[in-house]
Amino acid sequence: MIDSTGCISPHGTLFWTSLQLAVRHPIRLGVTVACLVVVLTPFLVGQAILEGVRAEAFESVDSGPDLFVTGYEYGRNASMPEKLVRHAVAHPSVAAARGRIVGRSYLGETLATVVGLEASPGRPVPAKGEAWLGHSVAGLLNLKVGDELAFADQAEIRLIVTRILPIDAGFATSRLIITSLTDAQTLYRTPGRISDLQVWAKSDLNSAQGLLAIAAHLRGSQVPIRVQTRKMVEDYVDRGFTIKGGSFLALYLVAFAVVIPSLLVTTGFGLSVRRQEIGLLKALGFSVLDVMEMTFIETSIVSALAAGLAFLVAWVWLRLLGGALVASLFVAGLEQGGPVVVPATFGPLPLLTGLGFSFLLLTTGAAFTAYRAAIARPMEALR
Amino acid sequence: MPTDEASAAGHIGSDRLLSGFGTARALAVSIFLVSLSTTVLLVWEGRGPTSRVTREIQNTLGGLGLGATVVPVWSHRGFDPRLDPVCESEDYPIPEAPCFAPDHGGTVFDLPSLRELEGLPHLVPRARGKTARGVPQESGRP
Repeated sequence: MIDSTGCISPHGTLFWTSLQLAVRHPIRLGVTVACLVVVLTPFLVGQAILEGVRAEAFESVDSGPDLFVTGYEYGRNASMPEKLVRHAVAHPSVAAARGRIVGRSYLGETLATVVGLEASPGRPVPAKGEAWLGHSVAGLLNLKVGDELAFADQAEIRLIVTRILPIDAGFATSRLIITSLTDAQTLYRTPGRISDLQVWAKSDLNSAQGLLAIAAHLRGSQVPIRVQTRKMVEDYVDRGFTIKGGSFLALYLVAFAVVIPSLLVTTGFGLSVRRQEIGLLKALGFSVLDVMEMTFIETSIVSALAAGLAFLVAWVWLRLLGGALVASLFVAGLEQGGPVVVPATFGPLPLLTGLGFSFLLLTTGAAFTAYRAAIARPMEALR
Repeated sequence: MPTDEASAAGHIGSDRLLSGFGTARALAVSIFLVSLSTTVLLVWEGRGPTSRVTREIQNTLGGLGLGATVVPVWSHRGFDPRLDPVCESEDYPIPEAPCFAPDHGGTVFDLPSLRELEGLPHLVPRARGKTARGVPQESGRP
């Protein structure tokens, strides 16, 4: 803004004059910024949670097997015999396969997801008679490492808590009880059965043909199965979250439309003082272009301030206040209680979108008024 | 830009206009501080979306949890659609009645049902609107 001679450049002058115009009406400035912050903050919170859930979902997909196999009966998933694991391992393209049980169970009044895991190389699991607890379920039941765990629906099963997962292990793991496969089979009285089979293919054979060959091999067992590939699930998650993100954005555009009239009023329409100010600037020798440049600078400044403040409020709301009052609108099951870190990822794109929304909205209100006042004769504008 | 003559003519108005210079400077400083804080937080947030322990536990589990649901209160579908492609609440208390499960009817981020994977559709090309066996595809009912 300051040139080589030490003078403020014409654009610098316009910048400072725009700032002075903005602060000349502190109530108007405050109301405009407050309106934008109120509208933008839930949008940024929602987008952050969406991206957080998406990131954890992709972590889940990436950690998952190449082929996810379940039993299939009456158009829905069903359990299947554990012997299918040995059948899968027998195929030359299979690097590893293991059975898993995922079910629900109550501990007193607390609902938890029980996961029974079969031992597998590189994937440590609890030993028989032991359990790992999610942070939330441990907190709700006031359990610590070394305590004994009993289930409401099968009191004879007692497990010793050997690990409590940290709170940042992901919100999907906060209500987990991880046990050995044998203990889960005992709990659900399903000896010799599993709810899903995880198959990892050898890396050099992890191609479409390799996976098809494994799937065909598994179908040869005559057990009705449903096969899901990692690629299919990945595409599904990506598509699902993209569609939902787009719907959320569309809904927010509607919400934005509701506040447009109020913002138009505060930013220009009906503001005769603004018209007089522009008339004065014209009398001082400012051109129409100068006035329009100042208007755009002013709206840019207010938009940047509002978007930045909304981002800070959203960040504090999610990271420091744990998404109080708002997280349960986006994540189901939080009403069940227990400490959970709400998944959230703050990226630049939602912030830029909010900035663009604000700029568009303010410019719509201010530019028209400014242009009409700028093309009028100064005496008329000052009247 | 204003000429000298015009500035002289509008001297009183110009003074009035420039009276808020101190406040304008405060506004500029506020915008700078907000922008700086936002940039710092964005850089800090860019360190990675999930923690090391999340990756470790997910590796142990072999991947679990895809939806925006903490615990499968109503059905496994909202928690992880790989576990069940349909919602249990669609069958209870009245089969095919409108589903009232909040984890796929009430949250903003609901995932559609996983389509039946007969014939591994991503690996086997098939005709539009038909499965490999010529049976119409599921509509992907949400």
